[in-house]
Amino acid sequence: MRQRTVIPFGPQHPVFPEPLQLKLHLEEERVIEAIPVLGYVHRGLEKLAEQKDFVQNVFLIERLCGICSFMHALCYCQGIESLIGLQVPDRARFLRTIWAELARLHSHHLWLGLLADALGFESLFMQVFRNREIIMDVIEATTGGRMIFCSCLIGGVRRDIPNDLLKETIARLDQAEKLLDQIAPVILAEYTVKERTANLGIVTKEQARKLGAVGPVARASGIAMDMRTLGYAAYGDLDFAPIVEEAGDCYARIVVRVKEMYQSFDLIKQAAKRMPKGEHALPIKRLLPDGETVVRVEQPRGELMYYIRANGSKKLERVRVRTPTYANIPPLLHMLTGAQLANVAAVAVLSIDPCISCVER
Amino acid sequence: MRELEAIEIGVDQLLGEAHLLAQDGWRLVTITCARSEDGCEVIYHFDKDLKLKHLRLQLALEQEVPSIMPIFFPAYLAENEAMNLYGLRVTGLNIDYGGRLFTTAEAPRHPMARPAGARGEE
Repeated sequence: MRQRTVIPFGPQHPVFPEPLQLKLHLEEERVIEAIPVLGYVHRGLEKLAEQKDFVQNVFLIERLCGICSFMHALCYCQGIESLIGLQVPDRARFLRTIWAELARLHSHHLWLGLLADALGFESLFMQVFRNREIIMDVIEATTGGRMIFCSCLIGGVRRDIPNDLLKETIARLDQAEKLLDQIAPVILAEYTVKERTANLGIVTKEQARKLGAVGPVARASGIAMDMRTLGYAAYGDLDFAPIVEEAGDCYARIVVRVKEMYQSFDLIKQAAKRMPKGEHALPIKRLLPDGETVVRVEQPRGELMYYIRANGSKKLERVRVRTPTYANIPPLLHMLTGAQLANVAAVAVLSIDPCISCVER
Repeated sequence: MRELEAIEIGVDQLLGEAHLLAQDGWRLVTITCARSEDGCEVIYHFDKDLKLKHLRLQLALEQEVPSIMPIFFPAYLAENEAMNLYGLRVTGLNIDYGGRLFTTAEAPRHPMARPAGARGEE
């Protein structure tokens, strides 16, 4: 009879940048069942959002997560703007798109670096992080921040990107894209990466639908779902189509994210080229949100949803945040079932690019 | 006041409606729980081809609601969260964290069940 054991995987693990525990039920080296244990970084931010006024909440919401902070602010601001009936200036829509794609780029670079490290490619990890530093410098030059941008406000954006800085930004991003040209083949064509990730953690299209997968996890399983096709910010004015792979394994999820990095460079260039002139923010004095709304944007990890309920006062009645990693936990548990213990970290990190701060809020 | 276009349903209709949506290819996005004057309000958000549909349920205090996990497996996380933060009484849940998905035994039991500013039950 095969021996069964239960091992607590995490919350502290070299591959996890944030605390997450998986209770792994093993039969010899094979995972029979995985149960997530959450609550290590729950901060009650939804509760706090009911106590701050709706303008202060922008800065609170940004602190929900260090990696996708801008996306949270963008989604929240769009929700409030829809409740107060405010149409932001065109230039603000394009600037928001540029920062959203910069956020995706630095997030995907972080994921790629962690992937390289998890697979034992330390030099590749350093190359990826060197490239990420270019993106971070661009973010710092355009927003003043590196992780928390504080550039999205209700009614527009906090600061403009002047045209000369925009040109400089594109030049820096060209440099980063060229460096990515050197990095991407190492990940996509390297024999050991394929051996470790192909045919591993397979989620079929049907399973992805049933398990509620979102973002690159869903797209790697053949589901062409990307909230950017809703056309929010300036996406409706840009040439964009979701990147889809069919295999549904870890390797397909890597391919989707690497291609999305190139797509982000392209979207930023498109937005810069078509940048409208004009103001970048509207005043919101004396406007108060009333009613309820649901807003969605595409975070680097997938669909982000905000439900906001307001009562015509400064304080909101309810802010509900559904993050992509939250939706990708059921698919992750499916991927882990049947996996070898040695592949758990790689499968977990590679596959869903988990963001636990987002999940727990 | 602009309200969400949600379909108001009763507790006895929930599983039937969820079945119909599942058969029609809808995906559960999440479940939102919110306080109401005389209890709790639960909104089920579904998506199909980027269109949203919402089911709204008004619950009295202490009223139970069946889990939709047998129909939409991913529901278990949001249901466990609502049990933890709002004290929602969900029945038939196959993966039950005992009302402690996020908070520890020492923390207030249902921190969002009371109006903002008030402490939780414990």
